[in-house]
Amino acid sequence: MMSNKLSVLSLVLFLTCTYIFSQTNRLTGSPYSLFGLGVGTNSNMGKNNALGKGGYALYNPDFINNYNPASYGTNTTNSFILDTGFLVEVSSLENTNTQENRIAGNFSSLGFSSNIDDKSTFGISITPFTDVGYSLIGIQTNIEGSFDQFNSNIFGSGALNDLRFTYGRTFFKNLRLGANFSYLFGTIDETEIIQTGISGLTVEESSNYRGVRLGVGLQYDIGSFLTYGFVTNLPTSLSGLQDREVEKSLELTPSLVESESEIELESFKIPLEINNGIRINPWKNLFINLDHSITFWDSTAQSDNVGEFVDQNVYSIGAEYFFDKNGFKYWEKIEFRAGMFHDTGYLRINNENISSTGFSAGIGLPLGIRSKSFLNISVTNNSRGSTNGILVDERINTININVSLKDFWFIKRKID
Amino acid sequence: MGRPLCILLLFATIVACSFDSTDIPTLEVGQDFADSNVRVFSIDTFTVEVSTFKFDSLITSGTNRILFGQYEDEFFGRVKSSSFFELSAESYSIEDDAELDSVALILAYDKYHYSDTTKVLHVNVHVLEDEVRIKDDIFYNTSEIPFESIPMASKSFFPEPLDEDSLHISLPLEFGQNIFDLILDNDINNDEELREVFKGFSIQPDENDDASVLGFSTSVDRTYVRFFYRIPEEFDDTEETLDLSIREFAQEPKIFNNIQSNVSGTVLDTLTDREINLLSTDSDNRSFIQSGSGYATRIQLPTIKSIFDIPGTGTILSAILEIKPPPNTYNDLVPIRDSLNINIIDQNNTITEQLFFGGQPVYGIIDEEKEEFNELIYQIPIGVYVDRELNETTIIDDAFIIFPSEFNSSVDRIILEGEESLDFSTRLILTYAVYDE
Repeated sequence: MMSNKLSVLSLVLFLTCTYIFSQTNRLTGSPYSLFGLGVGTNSNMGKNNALGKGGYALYNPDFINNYNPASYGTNTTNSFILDTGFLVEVSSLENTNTQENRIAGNFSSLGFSSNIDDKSTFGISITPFTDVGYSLIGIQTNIEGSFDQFNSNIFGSGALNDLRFTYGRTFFKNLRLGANFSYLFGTIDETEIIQTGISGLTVEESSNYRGVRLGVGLQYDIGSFLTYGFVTNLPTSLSGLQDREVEKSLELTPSLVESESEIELESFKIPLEINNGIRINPWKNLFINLDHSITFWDSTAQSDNVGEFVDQNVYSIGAEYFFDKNGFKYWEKIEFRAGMFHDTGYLRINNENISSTGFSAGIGLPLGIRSKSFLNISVTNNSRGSTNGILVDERINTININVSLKDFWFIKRKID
Repeated sequence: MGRPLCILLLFATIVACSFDSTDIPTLEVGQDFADSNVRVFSIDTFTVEVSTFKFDSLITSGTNRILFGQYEDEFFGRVKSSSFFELSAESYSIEDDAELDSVALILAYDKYHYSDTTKVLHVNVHVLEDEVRIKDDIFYNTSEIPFESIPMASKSFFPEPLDEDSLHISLPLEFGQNIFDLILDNDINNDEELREVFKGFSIQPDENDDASVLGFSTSVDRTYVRFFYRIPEEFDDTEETLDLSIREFAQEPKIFNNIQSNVSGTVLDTLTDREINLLSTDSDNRSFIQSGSGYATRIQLPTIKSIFDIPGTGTILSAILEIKPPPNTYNDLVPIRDSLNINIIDQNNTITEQLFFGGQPVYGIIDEEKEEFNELIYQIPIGVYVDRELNETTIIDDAFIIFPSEFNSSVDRIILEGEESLDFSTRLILTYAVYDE
């Protein structure tokens, strides 16, 4: 137990570290992260990314499925899982006349779960919720009352983080229920630098959002080969406080226009999210997941700059295959995963939804012939937006690497 | 057993640190994709109140210019400048056997000239009856010192301020001989003793001169009364000179100019006190500036605070005042300066400070784009002033004034269109940014 406490202490320490890094480093370079509180993260724990970003009905005592808290209720004994992930996003942006590549990446997630008894498991995780990282250069805007234009550059960075406490429990042999409590927090920085003639204005805004969100989930085994999963994340609103500093250069003389802190922002509404999924297990070594997710952004009646929020549907399909879990050879235990998804998008700009479609592939490498720990690598190819009109088409390649360590301290060494 | 965890944490920390993405992409994707969060307005509908006022007096001592001449001005009548100065020598020693040949006043041109230099100008050299000395050591453009009514010397000449180095005026030998002998006899050994017999000169134009106004240098080695004398030698005489120059030490002024114009019978006649403002709407939609005599254009922005009627929180990014001299009010003889000084004044028309632009004094500059069409327009950046006016909580009735450089030591005039002129109305162009709606 001593080493357990030590580990928890290190974990807390590391969570602090994560918090700091998630504040300074960007996980995206998407210009679409200008809108709202950023783009939904590409970062994930466990396998979900490789499975077309779905898996509401997946459960397994050997990995953390943060998509459904009910999966935490999987029957197990003496289980402790630690999952840490790293994300690299290589994106190529294109509009009607330009093309550019961007890269962003960082340590991205950390979570652990530990079972309380045979039927219930508790977990804590910290992951990004949304990511912000954009730089828009050379925005031309009309000076009202004249035929001239002024030039501005807008830079944004930051992230909202999801500190999540999850509990799941088996109720009957084939029914698991779970709930999670998320503390969403983070800072989004935006700097706009405008230039008109020899004068300039710099508006630096640092917006701090925080709020809590509840989610409940269910998983029901309809038969030995079919499982149904349901998750709903309840609507919430994030309160925002902003620090703002406005500086200008008037006739070559710099001066501070305003320095205000804790300006109350209109709270940002996150709507109800309903997720359904099934897991099909036709053979012992093949799992297929089919998922649908809907988020009712329309009901929040929010709009942002040039875009408005619309209901978002995500359809996904994924599969995982391995040769033989009980095989004697290492390669027989390697998990192969693939998936695809279509996201209708939550934004509509110029009457066009910013949808995205992607493919994913992944591999799970056991960290030992008898180990249930895995090194998961997934690659997602995702294209978002379009080059129509003013829009930007993004081709995003995401590489997610995560290590899922299971039971490494409960295993007694055979030979001392 | 915590070892793998520790190793993992170490690994992750290194990875996190080694991937610091502080460099920001700078390529231009998305410039049409979003609007600025800031709205910028250009507004030129503010009232600009243009008026003329006159300084009661301008300080003209402490100058390095002898301003002299007279001409008839279309707007300011007879413009006259006369100069008063005291002369002294560096040392008062001459060889005992020296013999005086001649004496002359030599005035070195400093290139400043205004109005028609092709006309004959008369210079009359008068001897001062009182010393060039005043309480507080300040002389004004209105100051005078009594001088002998009959000039000691006079000269008619065609000014050559650019082509010639100096103007030579011969002085009577008796005047020179008197001083020369006193120095020889050691009766004059210092400035004080010289002052008892010779207090200085005033140079005055003829009453009916209509020519030009000229600037002469006050430099000790260029402008002086020169005694040409000889020391007899066995074969060939040695020629020597003794100079009396304008020597200013410490705070005591030894030269000033009296600069006057005659506006009786014109609209400017009402400006008898500094605190009177003559609105351009009451003076043919024009405002008048004249160096030397003290006329200046005063600009007030009475409606500037109405910019706050624009909803949202904002700040100004620039303020340009455009003023225009009517094209028929300047020409090669009476040119206008290409830059103007801007000073802030209080409600009593007292200058409180000079306006700055990026650490340098603000100047009104002629807009070269519009100059192509023979339309000179001054553009004056007054953002710093407007910004301060806007941020003042109490209403202070201040304004700013416009006048050319060398305001105390020249006679340049500038006529400006007023705010309701049909030809060109003076206007203020503000750029205002709203960053929080």
